[in-house]
Amino acid sequence: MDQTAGEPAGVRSMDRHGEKEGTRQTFGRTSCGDSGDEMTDRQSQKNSGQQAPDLLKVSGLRVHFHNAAPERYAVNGVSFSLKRGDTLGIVGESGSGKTVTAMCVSGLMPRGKADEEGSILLDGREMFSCSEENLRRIRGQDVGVVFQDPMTTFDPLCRIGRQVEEALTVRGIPKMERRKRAVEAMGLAGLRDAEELYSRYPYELSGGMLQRASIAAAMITKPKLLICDEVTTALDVLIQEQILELLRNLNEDYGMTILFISHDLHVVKKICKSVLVMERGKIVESGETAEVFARPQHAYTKKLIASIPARAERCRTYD
Amino acid sequence: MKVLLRKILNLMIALLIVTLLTFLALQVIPGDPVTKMLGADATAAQAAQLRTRLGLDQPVLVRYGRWLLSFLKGDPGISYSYSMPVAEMLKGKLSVTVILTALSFAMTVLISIPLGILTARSESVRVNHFFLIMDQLFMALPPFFIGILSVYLFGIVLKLFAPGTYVPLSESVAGGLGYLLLPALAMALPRSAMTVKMLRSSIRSQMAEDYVRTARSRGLTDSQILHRHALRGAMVPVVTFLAQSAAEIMTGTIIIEQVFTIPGLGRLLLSSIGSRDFPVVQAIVVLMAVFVILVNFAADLINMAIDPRIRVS
Repeated sequence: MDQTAGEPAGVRSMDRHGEKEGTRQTFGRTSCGDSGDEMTDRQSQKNSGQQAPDLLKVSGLRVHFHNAAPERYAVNGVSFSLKRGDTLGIVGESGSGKTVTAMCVSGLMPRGKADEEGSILLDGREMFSCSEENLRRIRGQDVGVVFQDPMTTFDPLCRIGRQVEEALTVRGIPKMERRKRAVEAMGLAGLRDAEELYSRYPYELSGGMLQRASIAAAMITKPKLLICDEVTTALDVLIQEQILELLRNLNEDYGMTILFISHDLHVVKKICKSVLVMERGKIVESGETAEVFARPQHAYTKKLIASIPARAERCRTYD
Repeated sequence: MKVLLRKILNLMIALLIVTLLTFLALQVIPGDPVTKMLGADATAAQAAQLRTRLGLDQPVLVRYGRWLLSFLKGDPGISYSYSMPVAEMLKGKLSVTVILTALSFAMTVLISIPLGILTARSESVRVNHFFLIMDQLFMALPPFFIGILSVYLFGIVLKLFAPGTYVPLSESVAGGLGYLLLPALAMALPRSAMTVKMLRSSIRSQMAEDYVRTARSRGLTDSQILHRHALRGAMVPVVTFLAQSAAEIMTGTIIIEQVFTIPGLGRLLLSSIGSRDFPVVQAIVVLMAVFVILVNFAADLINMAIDPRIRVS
């Protein structure tokens, strides 16, 4: 079922169970919204205006893993788009396809393990038609990824600084400049004593510090898109808040575009302007985060919002 | 630093225990050096006299203490059978065995590390299958069997070398080394097969780690990931295993020297055990034990250099 492929209004509320459809046709700035006048509006904002305004446009994305059952799609007809400087959350349970979607966008899907259909346009470039070599150039340069567990995201035998600057190393940036930029990025990610931490090993840092370092590593090339895959899940609540604050600042102060993957709607609410709710490979609801929260349309979304009330209350007190 | 000091202390204790155990072991094996030296028809008085002369009438611990002191001073005693200083008897033979061991160990490393990396990186089912079968085959072949086979094939059938004509290195470096190549290879092949298998699975498990995906997300190629990250982590268990291999090879020389008739420590050890020449046996066993312990210590040091976490725990 390819509900939104070729549908110019882009993401809309999709309802697997056939409930009221289209109550929220678009979700503000995150939608494709390619209807004529909106387009002109945006193009006038941009000086050049020759390019599509979306940084990321995913349409009709379908992923089927070779070892899965024939009709079991990990991602089944997902379409959305993301503008420069925006923050979009993708929420769903494990197995909903959110991480697979993120992997496709980051060009990290393992080769030969799955069939992929649809289109992913990153800054006007079709990812699916990129050669492996070009995909590799995109990784780390155009897209930075921060992963879930800061304790395992670093090579334990390699000094932090060497790993933070790695995206520059493989692009042939000279050592002194790498070091300068790594220390800078680590400072930006809120690490004090970045100079000193540069030559530390991962086991010497706490989880929160490591997550900051991995954000610094993902940002060091100033990528167009930052993908955060469950970045707060492995952290305790206080540290979660600090990391969210950092990401919010990166978005607000530096205009970093963020695709935020989480199973936790309450976390998404704190950082994302808009949100997609995924269930079993499909988008079941989408819109501005506040709106989705206030008036969830889909039963699954309601369930997600209601799922962890105790922690949600606790979180709010830190706001 | 503290970890290092503790390791050195442990090393000393281990060495002391090893010398004591070998000393005690020689006391309990059946066979009496005095009877061996004098023959079966010696009188009791002659035997008692010789016993006193060799110091064998003293309690075991006293003898051990005396032996240890003189061994530490560099004097492992005098051979019962040849009545000459043990140190002198070992001199020429030790170098043969050490060179044979070093040669075989170098072969093991040079064969197994590149092959291990190659098979770990290969995605071809056929290549993997081929290496798996070769691995199983060579792992299952004991060195003495490969030795006998190659003596027969290269020595007797192809006549590429004449078995039993080892020339000391002091006479001909090329000739001596050339003779040692086959025995070294015979010991290196099974160990290489095991090391390849181990390195391969070690690299594969490293490549499945989370940090590899992270490195990939930074735009590294698989081979950059392997060389910058995965290989280091994969080497830790392999270094430990290679140290065991060095020890196995050293003790394996005892057998392979018989097969190729090489006048090294191994042959001397076997003949000395036969004649109950305790000072010689004791010295050789202790030397081999010291080698095993030192090699493992070296492996620990290398791993400490690779993995910072080992330095603190």
